[in-house]
Amino acid sequence: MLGKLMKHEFRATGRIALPLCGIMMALSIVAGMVIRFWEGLDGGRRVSGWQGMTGSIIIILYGMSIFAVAIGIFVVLMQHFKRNLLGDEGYLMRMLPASVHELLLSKLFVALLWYLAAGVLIALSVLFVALLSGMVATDELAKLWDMVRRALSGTDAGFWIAWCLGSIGGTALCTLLFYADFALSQTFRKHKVLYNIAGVVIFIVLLRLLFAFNGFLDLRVFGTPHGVGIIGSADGPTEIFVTRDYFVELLELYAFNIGLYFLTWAVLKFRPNLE
Amino acid sequence: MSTILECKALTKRYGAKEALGGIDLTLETGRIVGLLGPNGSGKTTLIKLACGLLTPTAGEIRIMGEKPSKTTNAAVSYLPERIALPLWMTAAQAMDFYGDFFADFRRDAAEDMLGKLNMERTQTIRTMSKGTREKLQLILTMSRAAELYLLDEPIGGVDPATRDYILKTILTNYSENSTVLISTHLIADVEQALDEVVFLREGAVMLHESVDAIREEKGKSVDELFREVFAC
Repeated sequence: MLGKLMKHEFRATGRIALPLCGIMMALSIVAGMVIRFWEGLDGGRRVSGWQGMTGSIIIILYGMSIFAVAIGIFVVLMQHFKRNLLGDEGYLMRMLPASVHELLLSKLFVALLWYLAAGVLIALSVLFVALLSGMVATDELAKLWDMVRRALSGTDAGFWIAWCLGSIGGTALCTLLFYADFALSQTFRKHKVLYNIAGVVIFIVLLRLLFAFNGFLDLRVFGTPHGVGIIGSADGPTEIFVTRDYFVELLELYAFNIGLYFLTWAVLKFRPNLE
Repeated sequence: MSTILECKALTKRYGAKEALGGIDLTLETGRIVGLLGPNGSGKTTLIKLACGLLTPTAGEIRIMGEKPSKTTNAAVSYLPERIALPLWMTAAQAMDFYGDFFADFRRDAAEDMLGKLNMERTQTIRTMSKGTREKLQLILTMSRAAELYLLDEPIGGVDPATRDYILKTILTNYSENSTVLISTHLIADVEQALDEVVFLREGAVMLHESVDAIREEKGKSVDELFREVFAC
């Protein structure tokens, strides 16, 4: 059932997210070629008015398309959640032979996969611009890759597990925070938008307090840099660290995520409120 | 016959307002039941409780002996009073959706009904008229071989010709062993199709009787009785 729900979730969200990604990739190719054209002109010759304007517009559009992919996909996913489970479509979705867990998890997993895809595609589009424009030569890219490879050579599985858990947990937090907020605000009969905004503010304040508490821990208790990272140079890594307090933060992050997930689940299960 | 839907002291309050006030009701299999009452009498609330879209304030409701859940969802075909289909879907995609999630969905029956209505399979729901959307939703609902059909105001707000089509669709597409619960206040239109009726008033069951008994014992049609009981 989870697989079927995810398939339909991809279909519903992909009809907007995919064209956004496609436009961004196309614009990155055009923008790269425009920059190469400019660079290829004789040093003394200036770019003509229309060439400059067209090129500038394309580059600006490319910049906007990155923004559209990054923000647009998030907005699409959140709107879809609200309409699909809490709006009119909820009358169909909530009557499927699927549990609330399956409905929620399908949306969460698809959201995480979309964020991952968006991140990879944005990075690829930047790479396209860099290569097509000639700003980065192929041999320079090989050198860069070699540097990265050497920097990462000293990492072990623990480092990558910690890094992945942090990335997934952080992304899920942003999604679950809005899921919980939408679910809670729809339990009110009036002023739902107002409660929606108030909910986001309250959740963010709670998170800030958590971070402030962590900062206090770092400074007063552990006295070490916190997090997961690599300090290195072209010759290789000088320090690869996953600090103990990072695991404390991971635990807090996942506890917060689990709390938000079950809050959303409980509201959908016991206070569906499709009135 | 066995019990398909059972309510015990079922109560639902919205804040201070009581929509259902501790009703007891039992429906048997193989019956077409009219859930009748004026606006605000609790018809939609009762159906939503049966679907698990609302939770009771007190009491309980059971479908085939179970509380509404994903198991009962597999046996209940629900027609909401509003359009619940995603508007971006085409009719064909909506059929795919039903086919994917409901094991009892009869694609051939849905295709047949769409064909008879000359409905475009590739037309998006967003571009359909209100009446066409309602017909599509009804076709999908009735194309399931469900054990219980919960139809909330299926003929409200449509023209008389469409009303006839909808009633014909309901009567020709439900299986004899299943139960159909139709909520409406347009009694004259559905009366001929009903086996029994439940009159709801201000969240209470006023009458639960077979249509034959009403005609024989009271010497009145359901419509006449309804007008008498709910006279303002």
